[in-house]
Amino acid sequence: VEELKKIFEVTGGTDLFNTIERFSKEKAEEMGLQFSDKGIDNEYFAEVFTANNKNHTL
Amino acid sequence: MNPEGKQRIWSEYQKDIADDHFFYVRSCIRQSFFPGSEQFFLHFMRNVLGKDVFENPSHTTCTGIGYHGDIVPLPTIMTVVARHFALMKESGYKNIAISCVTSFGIYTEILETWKHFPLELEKTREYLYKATRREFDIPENMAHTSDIIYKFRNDIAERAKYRLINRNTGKPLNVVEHIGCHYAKMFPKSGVGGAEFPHVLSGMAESWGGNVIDYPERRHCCGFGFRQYLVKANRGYSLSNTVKKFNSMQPYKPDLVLTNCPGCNMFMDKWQYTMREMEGTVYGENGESIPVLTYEELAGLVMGYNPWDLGLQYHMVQSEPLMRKMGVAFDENDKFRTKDGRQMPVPEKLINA
Repeated sequence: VEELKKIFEVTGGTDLFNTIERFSKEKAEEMGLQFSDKGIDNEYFAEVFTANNKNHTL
Repeated sequence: MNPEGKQRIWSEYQKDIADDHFFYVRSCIRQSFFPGSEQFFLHFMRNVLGKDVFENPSHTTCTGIGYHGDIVPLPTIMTVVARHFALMKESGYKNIAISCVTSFGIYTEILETWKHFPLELEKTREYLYKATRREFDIPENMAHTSDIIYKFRNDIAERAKYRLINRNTGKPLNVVEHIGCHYAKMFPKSGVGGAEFPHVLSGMAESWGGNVIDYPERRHCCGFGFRQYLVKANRGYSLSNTVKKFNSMQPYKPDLVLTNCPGCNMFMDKWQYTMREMEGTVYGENGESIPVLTYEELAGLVMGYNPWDLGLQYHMVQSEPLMRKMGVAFDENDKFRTKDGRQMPVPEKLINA
């Protein structure tokens, strides 16, 4: 696991995670939804994971 | 066309599959949901055929599900796979045996990338050395574990205790084979028969006595499709794909579905439960659903392995209807017992049980 962690650090994988987290936090604030740095028990995650606006096109 | 011409063309659709000395890499989904399949493969190769199959405990996930979910970047997954190649080199092996179609697609995609963009290979070598101080060689031979079972399919047929014949009618059982999108659709030369004539599963079914069904949506996705499923809000799309496929195969009365990919197996098995719960729909005959087996589970049944050692009880759709047709001997009382005879909890709502 330590080697995987180092691979993610060296290749930009960790940076991508951090970027996703940073912009997710900004988006949550914009949408007025609660956000948490840890776990999935927060309003923002529930919204992006489960909400369907039923406005998709084929 | 003369026979020589046909043979020449068909030869172009074959792949070279190593005969022995495999560096075996595991699968996240397979070892979690179908551990009996892995155990069959290792037992058959090592103890029945006497082959050398080596596992390195430091092997990890290929991160393919994260890559297809857009959260693992390409340089990262290339370096993770390069680490696997480094473990293989350090163990003294040159033939890699991959037990997951998702991983197999990842490995082929990465090798093709390195072939066409050699700078990416050099960058990956640098990343791996910087992160782990390891170095790697590219495998001389790369096979999916189904390729290897395909190669030895006639050895299995020679040892068959049961064949894919309905013992009540004497007719061959109808087999739906599903090779999975990432086996040969992306890089056709990596699969037996390429993308046009995939023979890896149909060859097994034919060798063991079955009748392979051709149906309109034979090459359609199983429904998994990664992003189709990974976000919960999209799962109706995933399920719709599976429904389309089962609707298409139903008129041909399949006795079983044979899968190449652990992920496909999981979805074609568990979505049948979902369809039954949501709409009361079943796709088999006599109000039953269609058992979905891995190629190792089917090979094991054919060879007379205990179905509960193979793990058939851990599917949602139970295989008793198929086993009765094949004449396989089994004891229902042992279905959820441990090796030392203790009764385990029995899952609720199993289908065909």
